[in-house]
Amino acid sequence: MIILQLVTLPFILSMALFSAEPEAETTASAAFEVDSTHSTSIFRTQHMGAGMFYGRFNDIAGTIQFVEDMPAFDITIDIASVDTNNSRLDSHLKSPDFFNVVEFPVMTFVSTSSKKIGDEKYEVVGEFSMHGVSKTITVLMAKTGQMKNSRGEKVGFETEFSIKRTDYDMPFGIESGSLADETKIIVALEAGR
Amino acid sequence: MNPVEVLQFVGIPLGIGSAIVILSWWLLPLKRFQPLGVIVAVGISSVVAFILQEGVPTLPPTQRWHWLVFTVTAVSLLACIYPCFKKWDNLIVLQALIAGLVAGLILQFPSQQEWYMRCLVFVMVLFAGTGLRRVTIPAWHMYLVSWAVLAGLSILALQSSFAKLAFYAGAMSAVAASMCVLQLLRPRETKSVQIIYGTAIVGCTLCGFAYDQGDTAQRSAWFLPMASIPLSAICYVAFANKKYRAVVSLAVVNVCIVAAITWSIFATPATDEMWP
Repeated sequence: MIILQLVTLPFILSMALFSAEPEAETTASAAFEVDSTHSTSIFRTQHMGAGMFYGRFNDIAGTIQFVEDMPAFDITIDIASVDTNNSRLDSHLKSPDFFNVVEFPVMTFVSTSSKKIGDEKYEVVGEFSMHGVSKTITVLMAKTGQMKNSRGEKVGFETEFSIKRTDYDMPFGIESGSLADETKIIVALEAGR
Repeated sequence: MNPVEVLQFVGIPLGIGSAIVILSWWLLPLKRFQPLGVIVAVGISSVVAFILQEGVPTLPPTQRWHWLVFTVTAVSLLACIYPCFKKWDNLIVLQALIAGLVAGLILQFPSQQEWYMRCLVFVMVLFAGTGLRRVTIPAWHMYLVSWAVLAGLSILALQSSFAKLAFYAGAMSAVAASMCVLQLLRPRETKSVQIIYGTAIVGCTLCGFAYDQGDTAQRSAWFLPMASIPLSAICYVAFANKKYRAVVSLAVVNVCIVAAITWSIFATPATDEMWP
């Protein structure tokens, strides 16, 4: 029995070493997959020059690379998942008056560079594409947390930025004053691996 | 949609179209060139109605539905050639064939790029163009049919939450109404204008169908107003009583439009939500 253990021990140890090394490498480079359920994308614009009107997109997908404390984002939001709690308004937002979901089904943000500007705060530059128009924008991204447990590793980010709809060829309702040009977008991401 | 928007997006093309026709009464006294007034008026109104909402169109367009205005403009230019030929009266079908080819090549809405869809566009423009030609006797009849069909399509566009198409079809409908009144005030040759309306009707139909997010039953309603044109033409020809054939053919159009709107409303899932 002792002989058997002596024979098998080096084999088991070497197996453990061989298997541990690639796992560590995978953990360092593997991207975090965005968890659509626990991620949120909200937009806000002014209606009739009075109230602030909110809506959200329910389907967010993508990946976050987080190597050497520098995040990189590749996020896709499904326009068809727009939700304003009013089906007729959702239908109008999907029409060519606004997002034109038939031709432009997603909006995307792909980061090109990021810079740490403070404690858990990053300045992320990337290509924001919506409604067939792509523009380079800079957003301030805050890391809201990171934890590792038996269910895997999770990381969270949040950003808030504003765009002008006219920059994205979506001017409906601006001239008549029914909807503002400036739209604030809040994106809170949770991703895991 | 508020009264100011209606005045802007429908009233301005209507005013410009009407002004062009009234000016043409004096600028184009020759009978041969009289149709040009209405052709130019309808073509320019179409472009103005589009520009007021989307700005000056770019080529290639940023959105596929912009092909609608390019197609109507191309067919308007084609229609301008018609009065230059003295003996084209018997070749009206040839004109519709060319317009059908132009529309089949240019109209490129989403999910409609396959060859059989192009063929369908060709056939639809041919039928709508020649159908409207049949009911140009008297001319105001053709304008009435165009007015009703485009107004119906405008309502269907509103029902499907596509306000820009609703305004465009509404403007074209209003211009047809104005042409009808002006035609009654001062009858003029109207040759060739029917092909512009035929193309606009087919274009608005296919555009609305392409972007409608409703289910198949709801979307099918789009084809009913357009189908009323050849039906109306058949009734006009087939109805024995010449005194009432215009009334009967117009009634067919209106029944089809009311049916399409009713169909669309009932096919839409019931909701208490109001928008806008």
